[in-house]
Amino acid sequence: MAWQQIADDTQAELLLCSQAAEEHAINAGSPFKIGGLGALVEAAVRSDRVVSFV
Amino acid sequence: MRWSKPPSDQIAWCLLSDLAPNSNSQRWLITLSGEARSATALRAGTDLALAAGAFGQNVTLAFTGEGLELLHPESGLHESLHRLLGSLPYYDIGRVYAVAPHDKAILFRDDLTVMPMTQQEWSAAAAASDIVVNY
Repeated sequence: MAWQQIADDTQAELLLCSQAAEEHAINAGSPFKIGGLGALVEAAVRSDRVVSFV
Repeated sequence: MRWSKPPSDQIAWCLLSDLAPNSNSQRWLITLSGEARSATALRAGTDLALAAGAFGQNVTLAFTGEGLELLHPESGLHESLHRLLGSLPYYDIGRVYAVAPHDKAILFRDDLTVMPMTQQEWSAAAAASDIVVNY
């Protein structure tokens, strides 16, 4: 699984938007975690770059 | 421990610290263009702006394209989102920016301070921001 590989290689947190997870009835399993907007803001502030895809 | 009144200079220090800029505060430019004609994207951008404002971030919120509809006095298709945007001042987002063509006369809603922004000004704001997110 590509995301699993990325998480293993980089130790990056993989956060799922809580609202999107709820809308799509996704049960987050490892390596994913559910995160809210606060987590997104915190991650953006702590990061060197923010890249978004809409 | 016996409580004692702090000296007056200590009180002044406490008040000033409350007013000092948050050291984690970054400059954000969030643009709502709604190019995908998706209410979901506009809602996501609005939620992010409100969250960033709530966390003490310095947020510049710009509207362009389809997103300009949210600045109309009438709510149109996005009634709940239109209403939600009315709460921006409570999240320290005191003004928003409309990136619109010069030849387009737009009547804006009066519950928000809407400032015009040219494309060049938007580019300058993007260059000056730490975090730029487009929806």
